[in-house]
Parts: sequence; C-alpha cells; structure tokens
Amino acid sequence: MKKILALITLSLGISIMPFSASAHGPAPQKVEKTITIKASPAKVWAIVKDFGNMHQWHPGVASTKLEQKKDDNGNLVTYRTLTFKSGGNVYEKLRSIDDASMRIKYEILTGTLPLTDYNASMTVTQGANANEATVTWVGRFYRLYKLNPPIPEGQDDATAVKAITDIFDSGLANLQKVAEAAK
Amino acid sequence: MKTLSIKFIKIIQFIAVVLACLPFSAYAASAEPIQGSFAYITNQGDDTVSVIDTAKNQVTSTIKVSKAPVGVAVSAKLHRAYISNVESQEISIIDTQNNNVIETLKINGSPVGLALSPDSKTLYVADWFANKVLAINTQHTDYVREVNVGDAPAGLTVSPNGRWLYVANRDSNDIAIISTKTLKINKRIKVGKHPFGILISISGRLLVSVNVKEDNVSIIDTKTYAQQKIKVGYHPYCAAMTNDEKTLYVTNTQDDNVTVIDVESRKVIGTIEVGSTPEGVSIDQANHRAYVANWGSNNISVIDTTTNQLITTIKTGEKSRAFGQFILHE
Repeated sequence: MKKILALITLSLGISIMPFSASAHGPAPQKVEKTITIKASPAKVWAIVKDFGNMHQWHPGVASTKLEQKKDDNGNLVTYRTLTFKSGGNVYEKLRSIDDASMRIKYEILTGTLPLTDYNASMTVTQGANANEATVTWVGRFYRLYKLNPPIPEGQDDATAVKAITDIFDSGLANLQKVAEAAK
Repeated sequence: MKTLSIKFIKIIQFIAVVLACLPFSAYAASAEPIQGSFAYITNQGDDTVSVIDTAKNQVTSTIKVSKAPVGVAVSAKLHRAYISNVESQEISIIDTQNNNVIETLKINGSPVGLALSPDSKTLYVADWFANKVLAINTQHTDYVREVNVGDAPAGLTVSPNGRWLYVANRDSNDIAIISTKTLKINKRIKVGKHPFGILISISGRLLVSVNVKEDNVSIIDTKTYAQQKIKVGYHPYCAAMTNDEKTLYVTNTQDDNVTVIDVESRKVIGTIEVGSTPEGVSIDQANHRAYVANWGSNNISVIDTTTNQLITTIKTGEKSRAFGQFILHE
C-alpha cells in the first residue's frame, strides 16, 4: 500500500501544473449545472458549505484534507486538498461562505485537472415546493494551453470543459442522493 | 505577413463595396438616420453582439459575428462598431445604421483590446499572443502598421488629443505610452500586477489601469506620472469614469459587484451588487447610466450614476464581455 501511495505521489508531482502564476488564453470557459433536491434548503446548505467534507457527498473524491494558514495580510485562510479516486488532486482556497445567500465560493490554486484559473461557486436556493432545494454549481476557468493554435490534444477548451462537467454531473447526482437520504 | 495577392483581393473588395454602396447611400441619406445611445455588447458564448437602445433599456438587435467576440470600439463619426473575435482571429465591422456586419478582417494574431483614435481614422488592435498592437487605417483596412509592446497587451485607450496610445501590458505589469505619430514607445509606467482594463479621463488628465491580480486600480496623473493605488474587489477587470471626472466604476469579476470610487479623494464610496462575473463597463454619459456586462449571468446591469443604484437588468447573450468603450451616441 505504501509503495502504491509513493507511486501516486510521484506521478502527481510530475503532472502538477502551476495555476495562477502564468498567463492564460483570452477566452474563459464556463460550466453551470443545476439540480433539484427533495430536502429543505437548510439541510442541503449544511452539506454544501462543509468545505472540509466534500468526500462525504462527491463520489469522485477519495479524501479531503483541510488546512488553515495566514495569508500575506495576516488573515486566516482555509484551504483543502481533494484527492480524486481516479488519481490526481487539487489544492483549493476557500473564498467565502455566505449563509444569508447560501453561497460558497472557492478557487483552485494548483492541481492535476487540465485547466487553469478556476473559480467556482455553489448556491442553494429554495425550490418550487417547501421541502425542495435547488443547487447551482458554476465554474469559470481557462484551458491549459495558453498560446495560439494549434492547441495540443488534451489542453484545449473541450478537454477542460469535459473535466469540470464530469465532476459537476457526478457530484450533483450524488449530492441529491446523500441529501435526500439524510435525516 | 500579408501577401500581395491578398492585398489585391482586398482592393477589389473595397472597390466592389464602394460601388455597391453608391446608389444605396444616396438613398440612405434621405432616410431617417438612427439616433440615440446604444450599447454594443459582445457575447463570447454565442458569437453575437447584442445592441441595447439605452433609452428603452432593451435589446433592439442581435448581430451574428465571428468566434468568441470580446473587444469592442465604436465610432459615431463612421457609424461603425468594431468587434474583436479572439478565437477566429478576426475583426467584425458593423454598420451601426443598419446593424449588419459589412466587413470581416482577418488578423494574423489574437485580437482582444480595441480602441479608436478620436478622429476615428485609426483602429488600434491589441494582439494578446504576439505582444504587439496593430494600427489599422479605418478607411483602407489593408493599411496596417504595428508596434511591439509588452507581454499580453490587453486594454487600449487613446488620449483625447489623439497623440498618445496607452496599452495595458498584462503580463509585464506596465502601461506602454506610444506616440500615435511615430508608433514608437515613448515611456513605460509600472502599475499593479496584471493590468487588464484601462481608461483615460475625458480631459486627458487621468489614466486608470485595473490591476487584476493585485485587486486594485492605479490612478495616474498623465503629466507628472504620480500614481495612487486604490483597493477594490477580487479580480477586478474594467473601469469607466463619468465625464465630470468625479466617479470611477470598477467591475470585480469574482465578487459579482462594482466598486464606486470618488476620484477627487481617491476613496471607495460604495459597492453595487450586479450580475455574476461582471467584466466590461461603459457609461452612457448623456443619460448618466453605467452599463455592466455580466459574463456569468449573461446579462447587463444598469446603474444610475447619480444615485449609484441598480436600475434594471437586461438579458443579453451567452457570456457577455464587452471589453472596451461600448456606448455609441448616434
């Protein structure tokens, strides 16, 4: 087991790309997905806002490691490392949790996903019926390749959009199951 | 590099367009000209431009352009809107009297920022990847000059007297000041990290750069180059100033709001919640309204600049950007 972990770590070390430090292409991409859940918005929001426990509702996340560190201005900032079951990981910074509007915002600092400059938000709103919530997940990001065409395979807009679409679709489907099952 | 044959074709096209327009323009001159103020909003996601009549605050026309439009520049003198399409590497030229695309220019690069000289004789185009700015003659669009600038040139603006072109070089963290006569860099000014949007005040006295990765704006005196930085929201993109030079509006893409700055005191006097991921902002000076293009929510937030209140929201196209001065007063 230790050997396998070491191997994974090694492969991650090679494939990790710096995110925000360098330039990106000029056309940002967007993925926006919504799901309706038969549970109270308060219950759904309690799950969604729990930044350190994403593995409890997202089927693709093996583990979540939460950290708090001071930034350049001396403010305490929350970070998490998500390790994916399929391999790879992302290191994310919590931007804000707003209970009034039931919105959480975060961004990716580094990671193995084929994209850069990723910012996302998840918002819970009251659904059409009393015991119904709507969750909207929105991500804004750029493709990995930063220069003019030809764009190398696996670094184009479509690859970046697909990676996030897969994460959002599988995540929201399972969030629905988890939230509806929870008492 | 343009080949001779392309030039020749362009000249033939130009003659053809002139000939085709001759009898028509005689007719058009007698027809009622379009008047009023209009916002030309680029929609990156569906390759269109939404035209908003600001008197009605309604989209009155939707124009198909090329792939991933971002930048915009407008000219009342020429009755033209110029649109940069970064993915297809083209400039779409719109006749604002009928809102038809009348010409599409191929650019050997990735056009992003656009600006017109005050006399509308020159269109400046920032080429994001090749690190240069093109100067295109608006009467003869195959006459193109160019100047090498800093890394990833983004926002462009021209001084009201037409003498200076200012270029925000996003990845060099500076502004290049270029003589429009010689097309040579006269000076470079260090600003904050990743300047994207840029503007010059109506008197030419103040220059503003929006520094994305430093979350602030630089206000620069164009005579002394004295610079002050003012903290705004997260990942700001663009700014617009009222013609009395009293108020500055800055879009904060990752905070979904607009920071209002009192220019005289250099203080933040308000924050206005708008749509999601606001990018471009321009002011309809005649009607005292700021128009904010929201990339995330595919709409425009309209702010009353006398009260700093949100008046209305107008649905546009997918991923509205509107990078540049996009209000046309016909």
